[in-house]
Amino acid sequence: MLSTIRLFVSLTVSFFILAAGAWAASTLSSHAAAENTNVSAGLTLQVTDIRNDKGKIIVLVFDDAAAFQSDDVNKAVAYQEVNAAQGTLEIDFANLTEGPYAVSLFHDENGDYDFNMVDGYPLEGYGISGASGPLDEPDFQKAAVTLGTVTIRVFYLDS
Amino acid sequence: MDFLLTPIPLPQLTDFETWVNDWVFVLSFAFLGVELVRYAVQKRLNWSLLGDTISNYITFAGFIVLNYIVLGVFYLAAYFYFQQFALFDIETNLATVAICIVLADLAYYWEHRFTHRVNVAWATHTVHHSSPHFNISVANRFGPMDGVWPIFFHAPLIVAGFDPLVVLFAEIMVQTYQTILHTEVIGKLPRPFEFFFNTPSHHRVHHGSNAQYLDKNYGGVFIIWDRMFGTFAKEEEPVVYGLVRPINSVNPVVIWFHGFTRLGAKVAHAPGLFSKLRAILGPPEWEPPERGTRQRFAPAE
Ligand SMILES: [Zn+2]
Repeated sequence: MLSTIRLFVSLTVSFFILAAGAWAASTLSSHAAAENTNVSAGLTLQVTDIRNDKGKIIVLVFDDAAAFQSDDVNKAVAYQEVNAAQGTLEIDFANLTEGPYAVSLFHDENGDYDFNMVDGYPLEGYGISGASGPLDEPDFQKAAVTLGTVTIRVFYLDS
Repeated sequence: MDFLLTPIPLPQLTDFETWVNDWVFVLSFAFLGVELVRYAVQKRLNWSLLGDTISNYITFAGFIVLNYIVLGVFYLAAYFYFQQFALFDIETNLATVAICIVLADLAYYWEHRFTHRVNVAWATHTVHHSSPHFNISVANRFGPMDGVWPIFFHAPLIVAGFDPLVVLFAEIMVQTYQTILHTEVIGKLPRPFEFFFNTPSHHRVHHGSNAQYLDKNYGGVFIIWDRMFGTFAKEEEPVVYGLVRPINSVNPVVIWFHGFTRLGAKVAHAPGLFSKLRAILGPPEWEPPERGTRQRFAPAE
């Protein structure tokens, strides 16, 4: 009898420890402040394969096909420039609410805010949502992503 | 403190897990060499001990085949199934992985206690306890169904919101930590360490068949769970390793299946449905009443 009560109390304590631990872990996030208000809202980009820390990663988000085709910053629904960091960079667009969106980005290594090309050949790294490789130029339909986390790889053709 | 909260890519975690696992396995062989020399110096080295050691690795091979080939798929499927019920949104970073390891250790405590106190689970865990010796090769002595029970006890962590791969990582870290506890070479460690952590001394007690050592020290990494929940025993008198009812065999087939043959015999022997159920779900020391006696309920423990 006593051992049964003891077992019950021990199990209850264990469940409290589990709940408290999981709750504590849920607050330990690199962007806790942004996420606390609305957990599922927003678009998060995992930009991978950035080759160095030079310059910035410039990201344009479009919500319609024509704007996406033009790649014009004035027609983008969201824009961000983030200091480049070698490897993977997480970029949050917490205020995007619906979608679908298409994302295009480039690594502005020389900091001139321009995607540098020579004879149509890119000198800086670039990435497009939904692209299967460096030579893939998906249309809006194929590039479209919804909210959540999306991984975009940066390709460099000059290296 | 930024490094604590930097998201960790899951492949990196899985690579680290494989790396630790492999190295501990390789180094455990080197350590076994040291232990064998020690046995020889103490004149305790004999064929039975060597046979037992080899059989430990044979059970391990069987366990690996069953776990990684048969159970592995089911394991991950079950884990990803539970993920849809996640209560919290938990990012994977050093801080949350550390919390997950502590919680996985608590889950392990209950799983381990369950496998000692419920006969059908004991039927497989008894394999690990059936060696009359205590050296690092015993750490790899596993029963055929040892991979089944962890699923049930770690599922709550996934429902709580930890990523299935992080939970698996934590489980394996808890398991790997225990590998290095299976030795007589290391005496007692400094007091604060012995207070919080599971140590070779605490784990020797767990493998004891002495009456006061039975069903004690279930903890994986931390011994504080046993202190909290009343299952702690300190190593005092010399430990007699193995089962209360020894198997007296180094035959890997006998080692692997003795738990199930014993369970089957007990169930077959038990009269009536109620006793049969109790033979399966009751504690290992419970014996069914003799056939034909009118006593339906055994006296309470
Ligand atoms: Zn045990």
